[in-house]
Amino acid sequence: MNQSTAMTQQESEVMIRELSKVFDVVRLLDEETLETGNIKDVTDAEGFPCKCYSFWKKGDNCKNCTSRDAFRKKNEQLKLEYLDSNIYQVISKYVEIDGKPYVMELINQMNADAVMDEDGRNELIKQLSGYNRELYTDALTGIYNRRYYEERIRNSNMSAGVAMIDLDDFKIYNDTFGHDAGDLALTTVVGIIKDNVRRTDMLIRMGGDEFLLVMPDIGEQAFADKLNQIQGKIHSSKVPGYSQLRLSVSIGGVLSGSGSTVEKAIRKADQFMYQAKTCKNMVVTEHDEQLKEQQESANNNGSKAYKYRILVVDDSEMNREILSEILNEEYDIIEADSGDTCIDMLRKYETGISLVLLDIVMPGMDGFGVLNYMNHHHYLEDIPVIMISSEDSTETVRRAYEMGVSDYINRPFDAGVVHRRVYNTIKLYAKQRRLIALITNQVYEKEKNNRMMVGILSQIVEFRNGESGSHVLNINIFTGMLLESLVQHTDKYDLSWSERLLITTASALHDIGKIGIDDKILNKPGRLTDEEFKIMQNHTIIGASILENMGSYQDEELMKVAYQICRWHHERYDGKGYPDGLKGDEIPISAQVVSLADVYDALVSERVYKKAYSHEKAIEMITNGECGCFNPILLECLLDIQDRIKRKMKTGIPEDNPFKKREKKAELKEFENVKEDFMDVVSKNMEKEYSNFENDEFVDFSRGGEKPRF
Amino acid sequence: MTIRECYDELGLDFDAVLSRLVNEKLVQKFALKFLDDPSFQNLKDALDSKDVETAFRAAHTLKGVCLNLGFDNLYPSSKDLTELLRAGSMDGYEDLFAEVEKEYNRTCEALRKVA
Repeated sequence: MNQSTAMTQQESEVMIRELSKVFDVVRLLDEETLETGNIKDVTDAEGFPCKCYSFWKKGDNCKNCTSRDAFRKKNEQLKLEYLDSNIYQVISKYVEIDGKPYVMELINQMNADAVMDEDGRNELIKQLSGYNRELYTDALTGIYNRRYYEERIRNSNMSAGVAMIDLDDFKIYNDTFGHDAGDLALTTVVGIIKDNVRRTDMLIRMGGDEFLLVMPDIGEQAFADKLNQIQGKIHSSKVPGYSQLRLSVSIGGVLSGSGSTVEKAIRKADQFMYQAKTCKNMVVTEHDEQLKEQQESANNNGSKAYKYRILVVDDSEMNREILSEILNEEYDIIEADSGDTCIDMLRKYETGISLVLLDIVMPGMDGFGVLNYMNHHHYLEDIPVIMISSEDSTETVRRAYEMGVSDYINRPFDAGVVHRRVYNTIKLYAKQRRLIALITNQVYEKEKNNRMMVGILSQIVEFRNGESGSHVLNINIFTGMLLESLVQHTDKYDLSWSERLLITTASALHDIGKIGIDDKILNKPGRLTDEEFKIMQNHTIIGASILENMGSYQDEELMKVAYQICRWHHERYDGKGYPDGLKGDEIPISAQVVSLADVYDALVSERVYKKAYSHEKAIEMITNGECGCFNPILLECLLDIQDRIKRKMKTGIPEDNPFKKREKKAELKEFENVKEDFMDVVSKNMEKEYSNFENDEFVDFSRGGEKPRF
Repeated sequence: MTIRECYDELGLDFDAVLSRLVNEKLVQKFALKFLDDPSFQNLKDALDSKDVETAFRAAHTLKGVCLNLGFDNLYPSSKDLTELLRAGSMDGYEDLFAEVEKEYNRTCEALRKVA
C-alpha cells in the first residue's frame, strides 16, 4: 500500500493536475480539516474559513464522511452523494505526501441520465434517501401517499395498468363502528392488495378510502384478472375483530400507454370506478367496457346482471322510449303501459325493481292509484318512485310528494337531470338498504349478547340450585309462547313486541334471589321446616332487592320488568301467593305469565323429590287449580297453545300410568276439600320444589299455606 | 333536410331541445317517432265519439310529447284543449281542436321532409 500511497509534494502536484482533467474537484484534506471541517488558508466570500463540507452546501460534516474513514483506515473509498437532483461520485484516497497523511478527494458529477435510466435513478434515490421514504409514506398503511403520486407518478409517462380502488361504504363503517374499525378495514384492504401484486407495482393511498394501483408493463387480460382477484379476495376476507364488517371494493381500471400521463389514465379509471360503485363490489375495466359494447351490439336486449332495474310507467310509448333511450346504457329498463301493468310488474319483480318512473295521467289506474297501492302494500318503503309529468300545478306536485314520491320531474325534462336524479335516488336507497342490513345485524348481535349474559346469570342460579339448566330455557320459551297467545286473546295488557321480548328475556332472572339463600336450605334433601320455608320464600324479596340496587341501571326497562318477575312470580291471582299477597291484576302481567310458565315447567320436569308429570297431567293440574289460582285469560291462552307447548317439550317425559294418576288425583281432591281453609298463603309450587316426596308421584301443588303438609 | 332545418322551418328552438336530449341523432330519432305517435289520432277519435275522458288523456299525452320534443307551435293549443277537457267539458272544443290539427299537420309535414 505504501508504494501507491506515498509520494512527494511534487509528485502530488503533478497527480492533482492530471486528475483535475478528469474530475470536477480534486482536493487534499489533512487530518485537522477532516476532524474540524475547516480547510486551512481558504475563506469563503464572507471571509469565514471554508469548510470541507461547504462544497456540498451542507451545514455540517457529511454523516457518511468516507474521507475521514479512508484517512483512518488508510485505504481508498468510494461513495455517491446526491445533491440538487445530481449524483456525485466521490473517491477518497489515502495518500502520504512527504510522509504526512492526507486524503485526496476526487469528485465528479455524474451524468445521471447516462449512468442509469430515470426509473433506476428514482429507485436509487429512494433507496439512498430515508428522508424520501418517510415523506412519501402513508402513516397508517405504510404504502405510498398522495404526495408521492403528485411528485413522482402523476406526470410520468409509463406503460402500465392504472386502477382506482375505492372501499365501499367506508364512511358508514367509520361512523357506525368507530375509527379504529375504519383504520383496521383500510389496513386489511391494503394488506390484501399488497399480497396480490408484484413487488414492482405501486400502491398509493390517494385519500380516505381511495387507492391508486399502478402496475407497470402488464397485459390487458392479466391486469383485469389481477383486479378481479383483488376484488374477490377483499370481499371474502374479514376485518379482525369486526366480523359484521363486509368488506368490498369498487375498482375501475385502464391501461395507460407510454405516450400518455398517469394522470390522464386516472381520470378514466375514476369514471370506471364510479360505474362500478353503482353496484359495488365489482371491477370495471376498459376491457369489460369493450366486451359489453360487443355484447350489446350482438344482442340488444342484453340485460346485464349487475344493472339496476328501472320500471318506466307511461301510457305513451313515445314517452317510455325517450326515457328508456336516456337510461338504458346504465340501467336495465322494463316498461309498463298502464297502472295495472305496473302493479303486475311490482308483484313479479318486487325489490328486483330499483326505481319506478311514473306518469300521472293514464287510462285505468293512474299514477296516484299506483302510489296508493304502493303505499298500502309497503312497496314505497323499498322502491323509490320518481314522478314524471307535464302536470305542473303546485297542487299536483304537492300531492305526489305527500304520497311518498322521492322526486318530481316536469316535462320537458333534461336528459342529464333525469339521469342525475335517477342515479341519486337509486344510490340513496341502495345505501339505505345496506345500512338497514348492517343495523339489523348489530341489533341482533347486541340482543344475543344480552340474552347470553342473562342466560349465564340464571345458569349460575340454577347450578347452585342443583336444577338442570334447561329450566331457564324452558321458562323462556313458554313465557314467549304465552305472551304471544295473550296478545292474540286480548288487548287488555297492550304489550308491544319489544315489551314481550323484555319479559321473555327477564324471565330467566326469576329465581336470582336464590343466590341469597343458604346452601343448606336450598339443597336440603328432605322437607323444609316452617322456618326454612319462610327463609326460602324470601328469595323473591332478595331477587327484587338485588335488582333495586343496580344503581344507574335501575331505570332500564329490563330491570323494571325483572324486578316485577323476581318479586311477584309466586303471587297468585286470588291473592293467596307470596310475598305481598297481591291479587288479580295487581300482579304485573309479566310476573303472572312467568309464574304460570314456572309452574308448568316444574310439573313436567323431574326433580329429586318427584318424577316428571306428563304434559296432559300438568295442564290438568294447573287448570284444576291444584297449583293455585291463575288469571283465567292466561289459562285460556295455555289451553290454546298446549299442543305447541307439548311439541316443544319433546324431552322424553315418561308416560304415567293413567289409572294410577287418576287415583292420585282423586285422592288429592279429597284431601284438598278437607284442608281447604288451611291451604292459602303460599304457592304450592315452592313447597313442592323443596319438599321431598320420595318416590311418591303424588304431589300436592294445590296445598298452599306456609306450613308444609304432613 | 336535416332535423335542425326542420325545426327552423317550424320556427322552433332546436338548440333548447338539443340541450335536453343529448345529441342531434337522438332528437331526430324521437322527433320522427312523433309521426307514428297515436296521441293525435286518439284525440280525434275520442272527440268524434264525445268521449271526454279519453280525449283528455290523449290531449294530455300530446301536450307532454310536445313539451319533450320542443314543438312549441303545437303545445299551446294542445295545452288549452287539455285544460278544457280536464274540466269535463267539450264546449267550444272545435276551435281549439282546429288549431291543434292545423299545427299537427304542419309539424308532420315538416318532419316528413327530414331525410
